[in-house]
Amino acid sequence: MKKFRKLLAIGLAAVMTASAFAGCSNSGGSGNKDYDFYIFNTKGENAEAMQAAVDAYEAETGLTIKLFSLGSGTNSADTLRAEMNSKNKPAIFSIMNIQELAEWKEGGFATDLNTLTSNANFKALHDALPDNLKLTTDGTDSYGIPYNVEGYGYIVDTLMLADLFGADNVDAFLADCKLSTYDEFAAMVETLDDYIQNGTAGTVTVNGNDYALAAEKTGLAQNLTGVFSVAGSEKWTYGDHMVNIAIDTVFPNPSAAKNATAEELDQLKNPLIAYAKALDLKTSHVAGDAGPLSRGPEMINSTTNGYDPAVQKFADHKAIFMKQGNWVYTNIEKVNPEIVKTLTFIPVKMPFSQSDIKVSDLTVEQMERSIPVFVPNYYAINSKVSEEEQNMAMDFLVWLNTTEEGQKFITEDMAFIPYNADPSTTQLGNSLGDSIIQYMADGDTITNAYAGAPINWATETLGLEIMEKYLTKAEWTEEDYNAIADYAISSWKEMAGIQ
Amino acid sequence: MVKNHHMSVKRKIGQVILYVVLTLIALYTLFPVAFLVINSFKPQADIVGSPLSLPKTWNFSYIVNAAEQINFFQALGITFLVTVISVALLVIVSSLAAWVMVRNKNKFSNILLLMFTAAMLIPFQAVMYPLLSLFEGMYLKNITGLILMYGGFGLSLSVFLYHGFIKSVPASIEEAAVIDGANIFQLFFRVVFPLLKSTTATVIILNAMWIWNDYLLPFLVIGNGEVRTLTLELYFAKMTSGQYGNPWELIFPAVFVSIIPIIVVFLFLQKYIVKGVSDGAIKA
Amino acid sequence: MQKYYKKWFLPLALPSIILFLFVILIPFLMGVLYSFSAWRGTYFAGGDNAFEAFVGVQNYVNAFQNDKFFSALVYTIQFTLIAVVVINVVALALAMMVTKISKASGIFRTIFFMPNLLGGLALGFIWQFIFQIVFSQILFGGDNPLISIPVLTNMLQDHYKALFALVILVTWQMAGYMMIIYITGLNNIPTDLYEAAEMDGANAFQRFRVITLPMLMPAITIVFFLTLANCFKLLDQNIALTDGNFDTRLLATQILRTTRDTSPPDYGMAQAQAVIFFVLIAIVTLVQVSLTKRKEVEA
Repeated sequence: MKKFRKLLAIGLAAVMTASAFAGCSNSGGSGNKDYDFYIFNTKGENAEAMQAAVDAYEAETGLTIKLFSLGSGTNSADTLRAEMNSKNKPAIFSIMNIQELAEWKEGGFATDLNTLTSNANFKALHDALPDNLKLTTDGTDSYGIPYNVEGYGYIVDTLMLADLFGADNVDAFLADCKLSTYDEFAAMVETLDDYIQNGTAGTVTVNGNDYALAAEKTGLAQNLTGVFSVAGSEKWTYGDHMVNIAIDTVFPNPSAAKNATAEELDQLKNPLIAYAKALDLKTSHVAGDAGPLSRGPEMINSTTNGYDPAVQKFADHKAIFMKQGNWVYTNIEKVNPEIVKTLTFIPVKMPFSQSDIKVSDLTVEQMERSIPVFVPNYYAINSKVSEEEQNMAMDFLVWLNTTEEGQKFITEDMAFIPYNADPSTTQLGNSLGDSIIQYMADGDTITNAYAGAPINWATETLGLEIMEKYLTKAEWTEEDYNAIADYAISSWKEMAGIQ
Repeated sequence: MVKNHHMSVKRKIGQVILYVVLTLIALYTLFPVAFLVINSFKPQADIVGSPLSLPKTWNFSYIVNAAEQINFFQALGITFLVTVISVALLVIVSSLAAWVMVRNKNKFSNILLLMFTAAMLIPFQAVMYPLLSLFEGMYLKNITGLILMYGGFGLSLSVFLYHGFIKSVPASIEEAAVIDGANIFQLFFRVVFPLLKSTTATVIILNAMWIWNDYLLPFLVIGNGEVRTLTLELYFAKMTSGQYGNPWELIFPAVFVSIIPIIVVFLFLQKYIVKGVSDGAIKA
Repeated sequence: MQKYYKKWFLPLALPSIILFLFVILIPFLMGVLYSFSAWRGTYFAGGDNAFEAFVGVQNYVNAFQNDKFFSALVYTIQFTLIAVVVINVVALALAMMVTKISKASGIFRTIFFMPNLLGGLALGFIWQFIFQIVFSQILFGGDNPLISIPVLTNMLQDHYKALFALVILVTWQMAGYMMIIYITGLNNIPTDLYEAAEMDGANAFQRFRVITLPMLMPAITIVFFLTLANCFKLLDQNIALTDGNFDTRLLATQILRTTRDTSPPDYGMAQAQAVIFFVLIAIVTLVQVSLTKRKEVEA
């Protein structure tokens, strides 16, 4: 018994030391490492290209760099946390948006780049970063260098347009389509659907100009089964990006959305109803494998109507439009190398009225012709690695973003649009990327304010609600539009702790 | 006479019904596996379009491709190594402990047994994160650490099984061996351990089965590393190809090749495995 | 001899004790400690360690006020109750059939046992496909179903249907294993008991109730214990089939996902949920074992 007590005492002491030990190991400490600095990359799409860039930089400088890339999404956060708990922490890591920043800022990992003044080149790089691209909580602090910029909207199958309206009319049609109102767009969708399902060759009016459909379905038009290809099981496509258009009417940027007040959220009611109507329009005219796909269980079946099947249907010319971003380029290219050459974007339109828009200087017309362009990911510098590693990490980011060689990896290997690209001179040779650059050159861009919504609100709350309750429901009524808007507002308030 | 005849006809009909029912259930049981096999030879479009049809050609390229993607042979070797060493560690450590616990009947050994047994009820989630930070602090977030963790998690059941069996082994043989001058290790490994053969088989099989298939622990311990187990490779293959959708033409053949080894081992050792399961259960 | 054993007690038990301490006990106690702190996974909010970031029972209060946790708790209990009954009935039926046939019983045992060897995550993906395509669009639904049974279509898109989809999957996986245990139990029943009962004119059902069931009690205890613990802790299959959509999170999934529902990730609350989870499992299994053990004694 005596022995037992002694053992118990030893055991308890061990627990205490172990907890303290584990607590301490979080901060500082240096293990034996076999590299000069470590990059943790959570944008899986550029994994190979990033490795190539790192290899080139290693060859140039003689440094040894550890690079780990993991697909964006499910488990990258857990893995990154495990690395942050380890002795060999990454010097550069990725932060997606200000919601993710909360964790790394509170934990003291993310460095305010304003404080990094010792490296002159890096300071210059950061100073040149435009305010609207900064990862900031209050407009003055800044925690990341952008990976790139991305944009999204309705991707248009222009090869199909030639068969629908005649090859000579494609450019004019696209220019008018970009400027069209929601009502014109909605009427066009109905006309196109009638043509696809019943062969009725009508006339569409966009931006006040008429375009007649070919009398007979010829060429690619024979493949059509619907107007839109929609990945029904991917909550983020309607939860994140589509709803953002509505959020942009009230919030000028993510940090405004993060600091939303109850009053501002209530102002979202009408824009969200407009969002629900646009979503109704889109999901009522969906392309299926052999015919139209109506809302119901099959719409959200992840095997037949998930991301890849939706891309496949679009690439097979079964639909005219697909709401996606320029990141989908390589996926489409894999399935159909011909179609990607001439793809372009038109904006996602919603029936807003000017009184709905609370952001100053923003007009309905501006929203109708603009697409969201935003930074999907930032490189952050870890405060908890040695100054030496931080410095090497800064040098690498300078090299990647300012040298000709570094830029080549970004534009060619990663097929990214550099955040610091000059729209008037940059050409990517990638149709979707170039389309976005054109929007940037024209000044027709809006922001990605939804990134400031509570974490998991967009996809796992609103997106989930829409998938479970509405994409399986054949007809939507005015009450449904209202209910969607109310749910979006009340769940945001609840998750943000706003009364 | 008549009654007997009647009985045997009735018995025969009963047997036929039993065989029919069992065969139907067996087909149902085998269906997912057969389904997996036929779809390991098809391109994505055929898998989604006509999942129940046989492949047009028995094209091995998907399997070869999947085996390459998941570094099949390396992963197999690592999984094998981890499983074998963990199980060996478990067998030695737990049999020794159970033996001295049975032979020392005191409060401490009772409390120890109780603690080991109660630990079977701790859900993995309750220890997961602290365990990782503790092992990180001890420089053990690696394969060695993984093996030690399996040693810890498998301990409860193994000690319990050995304890139950050793209770029925008389101590008199051991006494004789000590009098003959055997030292403690000779005593244990030459005299006691051979008597525990059936329990050892049970311990090996029950632990090997879950360690081989375990996914979460390797993911948390060595997920971000060069060496990966089969389940990890499978998971990463699904994660990195097909960014959001399901790349079935990779998943099916990858799952298929990853279960081949365990099916082969099972078919060779099924007698022992089935016995191991039932012995393990009855003693527990 | 007693002295001899005593001398070697600590040295030989020590490896086990050390493993137990470092892998189970210390992490478990640390986990309990962390569950009372503002732990964020990579740091403690408001302090350098768990003591400085102590928040009392706040994480437990938050856990109980969390709708998702509560709903996962209810769903887990519903699932476990149904799954335990179904697995047991199926396993016992299989065992009785397999022991009654004269030939080829080994082959059937092998086949029924096999699903158990296959990992949860991998098989989960395959069953997801079977439920989404084979069940929904070929066998029981779609344009030309084999037999139209709407209940069996789109099972992963409904709160309750998904529960039964999960039951179908775990029964497929576990019934063979439990069957083996029941077979051992059945073989341990002396045949003369049946002969005597038959002489007394007992019919098959009476023989089952009076002899088989009571004599099988030890095996039933074990199978209940194993199925209960396994179903209560189920994770991989839940993630693979529905990933918690349609409000189908089981407790283990809920704990894992808590850190993704919150920003910064609330590991303290996740840990509190895990401790509650442990207490529940302990209570449920202890009650179950003592109940069935009592039945054994009576028998």
